[in-house]
Amino acid sequence: MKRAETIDPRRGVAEAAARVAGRASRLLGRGAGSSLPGKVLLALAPGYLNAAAQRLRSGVVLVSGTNGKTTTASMLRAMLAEAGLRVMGNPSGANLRQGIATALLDGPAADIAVFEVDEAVAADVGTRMEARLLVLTNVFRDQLDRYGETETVAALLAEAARALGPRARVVYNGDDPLLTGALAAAGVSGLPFGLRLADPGAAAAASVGGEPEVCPSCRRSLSYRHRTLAHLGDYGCSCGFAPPRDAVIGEVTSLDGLQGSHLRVGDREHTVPVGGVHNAYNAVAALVAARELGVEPEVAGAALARFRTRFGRAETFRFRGADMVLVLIKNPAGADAVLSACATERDVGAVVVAINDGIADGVDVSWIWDAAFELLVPTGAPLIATGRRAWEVALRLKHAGRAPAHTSTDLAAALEHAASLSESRKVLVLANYTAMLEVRRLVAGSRRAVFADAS
Amino acid sequence: MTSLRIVHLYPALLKTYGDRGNVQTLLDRARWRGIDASVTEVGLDDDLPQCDLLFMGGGTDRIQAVVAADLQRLAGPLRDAVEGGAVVVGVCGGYQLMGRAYEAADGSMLEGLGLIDAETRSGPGRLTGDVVGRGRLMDRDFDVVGFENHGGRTILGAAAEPLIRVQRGNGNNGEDGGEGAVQGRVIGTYLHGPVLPLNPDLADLLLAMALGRDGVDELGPLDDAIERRAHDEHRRRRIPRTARSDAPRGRLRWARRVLAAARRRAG
Ligand SMILES: [Zn+2]
Repeated sequence: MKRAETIDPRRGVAEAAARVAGRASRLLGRGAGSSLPGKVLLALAPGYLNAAAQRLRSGVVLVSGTNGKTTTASMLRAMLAEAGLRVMGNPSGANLRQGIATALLDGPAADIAVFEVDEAVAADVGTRMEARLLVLTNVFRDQLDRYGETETVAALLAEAARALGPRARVVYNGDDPLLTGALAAAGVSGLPFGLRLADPGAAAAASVGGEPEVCPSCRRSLSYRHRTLAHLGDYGCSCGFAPPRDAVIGEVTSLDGLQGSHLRVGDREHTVPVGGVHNAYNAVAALVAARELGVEPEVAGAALARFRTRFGRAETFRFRGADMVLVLIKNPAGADAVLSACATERDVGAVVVAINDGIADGVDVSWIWDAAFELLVPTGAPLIATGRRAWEVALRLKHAGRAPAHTSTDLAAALEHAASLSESRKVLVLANYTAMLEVRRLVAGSRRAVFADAS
Repeated sequence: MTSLRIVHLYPALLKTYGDRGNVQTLLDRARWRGIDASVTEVGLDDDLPQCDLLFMGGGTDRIQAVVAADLQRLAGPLRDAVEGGAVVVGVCGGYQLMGRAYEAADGSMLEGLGLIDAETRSGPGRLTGDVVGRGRLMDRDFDVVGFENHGGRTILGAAAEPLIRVQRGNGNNGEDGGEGAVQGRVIGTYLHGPVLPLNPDLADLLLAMALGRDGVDELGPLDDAIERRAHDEHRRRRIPRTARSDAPRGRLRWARRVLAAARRRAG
C-alpha cells in the first residue's frame, strides 16, 4: 500500500488487519464498513491518527459544531481542490475517531485533510492530529437525549479550540452568543464570521425556535438588533457582551427558496447553490477558512458556485410525474431555516413532512413543536404527514393552522398521494434522518450510496 | 367564564422541550370552543398580570438557575394568583421549581416556590424514556403518554398527590410509581412530548379547572380524531432501547476476534 513504506511494521500489520476487517464487514453486510476498520486500527495502533496526520504535507483541518459540519467541510474541500491541492476527508459523515481513522486508511494520497468531527471528540482528535485550523459552525439544540445541554456542547468546542494551542487558528461563528461566550471563557481568540440579511423579514420568519437568549457572561436576557436564524445574529447585552468586532460579515443579498442564495463578502459577490440561511452561514465559514489556508477568494468563489447538493439538501428526484425536492430537517433551528425557505418557493403542489423516531433520529421528537411549521400554511399547498410519527406530525400541523390532507405511517403511500395531488408541480419532502433514507430509497428506486449526515 | 387568560412564564428561556406545544394546545382547545383565549408572555423582570392559567416549562440547569433567582420576585404574586383561583402547570424544570427546593446537577440548592409539597434531589444518571400512566382529576380518569428526560428525583410530601401512576417509565424518582404532582390547583409533571397535545383529556381537565367549570363535560366535545391517533401511536411505540448500545458492542466483539486472528498471523 502506498503509505506502508514510511511506517513501522506494527502499523503495517494494523493497517492490513483493519482493511481485512473492513472487507469482511462489507461482505457480511455489517453496515457500510465505515467505522469498524478504524476501530481495529486504533486498537492495534493507538498513535495512528497522529502518524497519519504527519503524512499530510499541508496538515489537518477540522470542522465541528451542531449543524452544518458536513456541508461546510464539503465546501471547504471543494475550494482547496480548486486551488490545486490534493484533498481528503470523511464525506460519509463518519465523524468519530474510528470513522476518521477509516477515512485515513481508505482515502487517497493527499496534501491536506478536512474532517468533520463530532463535538464530543473534537478536542481529542484535534490534539492527536495537531490540527492547524478548526472551524466551529454553531451550537444548536440537537437530539435532546444525546449530550443534554447546549452549554456543555459549547464548552466542549471551546475546549477543543483551547487544546489546539496558539499555533492553530480557530474560525468560528461570532453570531452565535453561546459559542462566542464559551470561547471567550476559555481564553481563545480566533477568526469570527457572521451574516446579515438584506431582507430583515426573512430574519423574523426564521427566529421562532432556537436557544434561550441569555447572556453567557452575566445571565441577563440578550437583545438582538438583527436576527438571522434562531439565536444567531447581532446580539447585545447591557454588560457589554456583544459579537466580536473583527468578524468577516457576509451579506445575504437574496434568498431564492431552496435553490440557493447570493452572498456579498467584502467587495465580492458569491453564488451559494444550496438554499437557506443556514447554508449561507456554511458558505461564509468555508470562505473564511479557505482564505486562511491561502486560497484566493475568486478561486474559492468559483468552487462554491459549482458546489453540488448532497444527501437531503434539496436533491430533486422525478417520482410519479412530480419533482420531489428532498430536504433534511432534524432540529428546530435547521428546520426553521428550511421552512422559511419553503415559504418562498413557488409552484409547490404539495408538502410532505416525514418524521421517524429511530435511534439515529433521537427517540424524542418533541422538537417539532418548537419548529415553525406555521410557515407552511401560507404556501397554500396541501400538507401530508407521514413517517413513524405521522399522527404526531398531523397534530403539529393541525395546531400550526392546517390539518394535513392525508396522514399515513406508510411512507410509500404518502409519497404516491403527494404526487397525485401535485398537478405536476413540485413536491417538497421534509424528512428527518431515517425517514430521509427511506424516502430516498423509494423515489430513487435503487439502493445507491447514501451520504450520511451526522452534522 | 367565557374568556381564558393564559400566562406563559419565561417562554424565551424555558423552551427546550417543545413546551410551546403545551401552551398552543390550551389556547387552541379553548378557542375551538368559542372561548376568547389569550397568552401573555412573562420574562425576566416582568410583572405578573391577572390570569386564569399559568404555564412554566423547563430548561437546562444553567438557565434554570437564572429563572429560579428571578422567580423569587414572583413568589408572592403567584401564591396570590393560586388563592384567587388560577391553575398553575409546571413541566419538568417548571415542576421542580414549584416544589420547596431543587438540587441542581452541580449540587447547588435552588429555592423553589413552595407551591407543591415536594423536594427534588439530584440522582445518578438521567431517567429517560417513554412513560405511560393513568391519573384522576375532577372525578375523571385519564390516560397519559409522554417522554421523560430528567436528572432530578422528586419526592412528594404529604400535601401533594402524584398526577399519575406509571404503567411504564420511571416517573418522579423511579421508585414509588408516582409521576408528577397535584396539590389543589397546582399541577406538575416531568412529561415532555409535549404532554398536552398528546393527552387532550388532561388538557381539557386543566381548562375546565382554569375556567371554573364543575366538570370537563361542561366544555363540550371537539373532533379529536388526530389527537387520539397521535396518543395511541405514542402508547404503542417501543423505543429500541438497546439498539444503540448493542450494535456497536456486538461489532466490537467481532472486531476483537478479527484482530486476534490478524495478530496470530503477524506472529
Ligand atoms: Zn451580559
